[in-house]
Amino acid sequence: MNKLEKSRLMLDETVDTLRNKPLRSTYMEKLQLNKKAIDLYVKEGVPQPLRFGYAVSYMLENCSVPVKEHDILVGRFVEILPNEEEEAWLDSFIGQWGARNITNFLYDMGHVTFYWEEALQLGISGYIKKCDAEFEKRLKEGADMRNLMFLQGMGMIYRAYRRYIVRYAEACEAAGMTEAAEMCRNLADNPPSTFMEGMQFILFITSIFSIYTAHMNATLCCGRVDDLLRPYYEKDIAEGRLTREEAGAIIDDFNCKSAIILGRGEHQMSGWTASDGYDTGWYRNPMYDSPTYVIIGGYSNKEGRNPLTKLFLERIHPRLENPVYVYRRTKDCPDDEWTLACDKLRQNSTLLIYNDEVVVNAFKQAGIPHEDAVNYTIHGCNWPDLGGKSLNILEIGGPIPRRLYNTIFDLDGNLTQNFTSIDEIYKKYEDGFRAEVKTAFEKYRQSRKSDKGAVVGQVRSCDCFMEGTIDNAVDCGRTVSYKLVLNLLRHVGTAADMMASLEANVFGGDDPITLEKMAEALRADFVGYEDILKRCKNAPKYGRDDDRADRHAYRLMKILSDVAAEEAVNPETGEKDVYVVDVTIADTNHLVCDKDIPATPDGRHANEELSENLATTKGTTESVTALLNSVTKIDFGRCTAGAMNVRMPKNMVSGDEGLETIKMLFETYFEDGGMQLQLSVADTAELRDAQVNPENYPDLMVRITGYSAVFVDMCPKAQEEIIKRDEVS
Amino acid sequence: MENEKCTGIITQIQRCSVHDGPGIRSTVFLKGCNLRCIWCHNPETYSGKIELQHFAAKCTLCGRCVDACPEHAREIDGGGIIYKNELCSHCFTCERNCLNSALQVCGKEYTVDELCGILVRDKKYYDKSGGGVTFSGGEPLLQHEYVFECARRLQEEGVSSAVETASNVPESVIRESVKHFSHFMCDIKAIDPTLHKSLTGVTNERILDNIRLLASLGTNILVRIPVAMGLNGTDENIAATARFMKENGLEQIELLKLHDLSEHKYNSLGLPITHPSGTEPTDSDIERFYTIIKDILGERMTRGFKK
Repeated sequence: MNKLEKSRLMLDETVDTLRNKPLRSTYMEKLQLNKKAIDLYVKEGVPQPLRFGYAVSYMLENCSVPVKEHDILVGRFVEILPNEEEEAWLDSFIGQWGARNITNFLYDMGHVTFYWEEALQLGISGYIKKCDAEFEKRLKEGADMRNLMFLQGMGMIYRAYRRYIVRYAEACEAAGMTEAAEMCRNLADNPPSTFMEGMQFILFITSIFSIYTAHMNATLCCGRVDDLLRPYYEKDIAEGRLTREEAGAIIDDFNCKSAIILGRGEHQMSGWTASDGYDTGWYRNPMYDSPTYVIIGGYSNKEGRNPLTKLFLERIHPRLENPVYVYRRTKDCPDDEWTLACDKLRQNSTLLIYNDEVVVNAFKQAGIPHEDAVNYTIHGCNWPDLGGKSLNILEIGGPIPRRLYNTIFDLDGNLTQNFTSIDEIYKKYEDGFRAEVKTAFEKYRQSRKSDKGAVVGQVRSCDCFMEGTIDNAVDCGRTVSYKLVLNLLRHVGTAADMMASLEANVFGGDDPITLEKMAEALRADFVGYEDILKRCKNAPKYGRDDDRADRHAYRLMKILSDVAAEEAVNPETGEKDVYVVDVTIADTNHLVCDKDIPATPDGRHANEELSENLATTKGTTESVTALLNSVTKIDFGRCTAGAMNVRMPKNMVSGDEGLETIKMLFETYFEDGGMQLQLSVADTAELRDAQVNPENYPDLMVRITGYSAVFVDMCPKAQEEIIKRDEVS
Repeated sequence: MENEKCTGIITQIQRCSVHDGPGIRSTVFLKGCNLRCIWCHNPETYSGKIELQHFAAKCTLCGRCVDACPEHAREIDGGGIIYKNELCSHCFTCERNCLNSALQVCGKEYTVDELCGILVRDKKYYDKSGGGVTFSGGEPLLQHEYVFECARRLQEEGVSSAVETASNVPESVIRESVKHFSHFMCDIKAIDPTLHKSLTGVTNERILDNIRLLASLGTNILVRIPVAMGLNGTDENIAATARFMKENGLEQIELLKLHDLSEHKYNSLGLPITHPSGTEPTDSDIERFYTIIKDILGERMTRGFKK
């Protein structure tokens, strides 16, 4: 069987598996191994690096290594539908996960991009050598035992990864899969030397990490795969080892392997992360549920056009929920690439588009040098990082509506002061944030002083693949070049609408109401104040290309962005010493975390959801162009990540004309300064029917926060929110 | 110029419209129509005046509109609201007092400045895609002075305009319109005058004359047929329309499927519901009709505007 035949079988298997996967199927074997590892090695008195090292080694030594004849790349995991008894055991064990009381074990939550440049250069064997050498050097110097144990723990983890690869080589040999066996043997003892080995290496590291050595939601980014693997690909092609079609088949296999292991459901709405009405009623987290991000396109430090970008784009399969592809668009991107990206968007693929003109510049604004800024990557629910050379260390900001509410009202819903103008509210909003940021940055500066000389000595598996951890024998939080501070600018739509309503109804208009009266109405959740409610609802709304609301979105964001940037300059030295970047990511906070905000002046009732990411308040979007115009009025000068979710009906994107529409629409949006965009193509009628007849829609996906979800797997309230929020015509 | 001060009555401005002419467009729906197509799903565009719609399903009979009405044109009776049209001064105080969106004002007056100010906001999308503005309705040419002035203003801003028309207007209006629109979308509901009258309430002599005129003036015309099976969706009518097109050198055609009737809109306006006997054509019906047209027009026939 050649690679092309194998990849076709793998695609068939994957689509079929995803369609028929039972809702509650899970990795029972992995969980049982977790439990045994805890019982055996996670004991009081055993230092954390060692117990972690032992536990990981035990799991990777004992887990199954299944293969199928049509595997090009290997790495499968045993998934079953638990019976009643197993479910009961699962419940008790998952309780420990939920409480996160698996002390110092598997607490790694990923949310990083590994330092793939180094990883591919060293390979697993290179890491082992480097780690051993550092250990010996430090031992000679009589180093602190905690640093030594840190290296020991890392060394055990590298060896465990290697053993897993060797065991796969043996499994392939037993199955007569000689090419795969040889590939695994090579990878156990050498760095990857071909395109296929590069893909296999990335797949091994990410899947082992996510399945066996990390806690819940351990999302990872595979880095800029096209940029990283280009030299291997070009060499293979030049030397006649590989054809373009075969490389495509390898990518197909990689995509399928990433997709097939993903559990059903919506992880932010299951288990302890969910709340009232937004709970799917069962835990998805023990199942692998971590979107894997693959970054392609964008500016590069390498010269010339990258042939792999288009190949990866071609191979995006619209049915696969995972991996999450991010195409980095540049203003001079080749038309065929951009057309292909738009075609994939309209097929409702899991593809996010980022605008390099905005994001690279935003990183540079934060003080990141150009050569590293161009290597930005995205992970998890649209979080930014710098390809293994950064870690997101601190978050400031948060939900803007809450900040605004707390600026105007106290905990009892009474006014914090007698505001006489919108500008006074803005002033207090700014002052409050500045005080908060000053305190946060001062603490942060203190905490960073002893970074690399630290002897904390705790090891996580992501430490094994990040920048500088072996050299410094401490965790990556202390060693990466860029410790990013994220300025979270969440739910700006609701906040802009609040201000627009106050401006129209309290501080302006023909028949203004007093702010006290507004406060009264909000305290009563508008009960008995229906006339005020109507006025609030009729006030200008963000997302309709209405400057009366959009200017507030701009100003609310701009103040927070400016303040954070200003405070990043150390008052003692006058130098910028905090890498602070803006992100607009909301996750599913608009549903689950911030629902306890009381009624707000935009006409939103208490506990009603907020606007999602950069989207409008539900039901207020009128057209794509109006929405995109509103969004691009925001200054994204320092913004590095966050979602702009758009949902369009099928008839708008169908045929050649539909493709042209998408291209023209989004090209204009990005030229106009839009930062990011992700599209769902699903008709409201279709989504409504899926609510009633879920069995008919196992393949219907929608984009949420920074990834895809199968619509029928979401809880009804979340489905409702998607339907109402954002279909545009 | 006086025209700059004239206003138009508009029911809707649909931005990012992709089915009303080339590229990305904004479609302006003007109020008022002199046809009464039995399948019409936009009865709110019949009248050229701003009017009130009452959506009974949303009404809670709270009585706020009754109390607020200065003309006492509304009262609660027998579990419903009685609306006395003859007393109504159309001040719409009732709508402003309705908390449930059961009352909605249909139609809004826009000056040329106001409308064009909105439309040019999407200029970058028009420019990028070869799109522009489409005036539709109702019958947009019933408000021709306003529409022409808007088109002229848009042209100054570098935005081209198209019009969707039933062409049932005086010849002079058609002659003038040629100066303002780059694209015409002309409905031909039926070729047989009697059938046309039974479907739309008017005969089609003036309509066909106007289309002949537009064709003779070399304008870019797309013929549109809203197809209802059992009514105008017959081989005879489609072939006759194609022959008319051939006689006049027209090659661009678009067949539209009959929509749902939107009964709630008729109810909200207190209009009697027509129950057309026609049904929605299937995809294969549409394909068959295109084949008939192609047999007559030949290879030069295009679906929609030529690229």
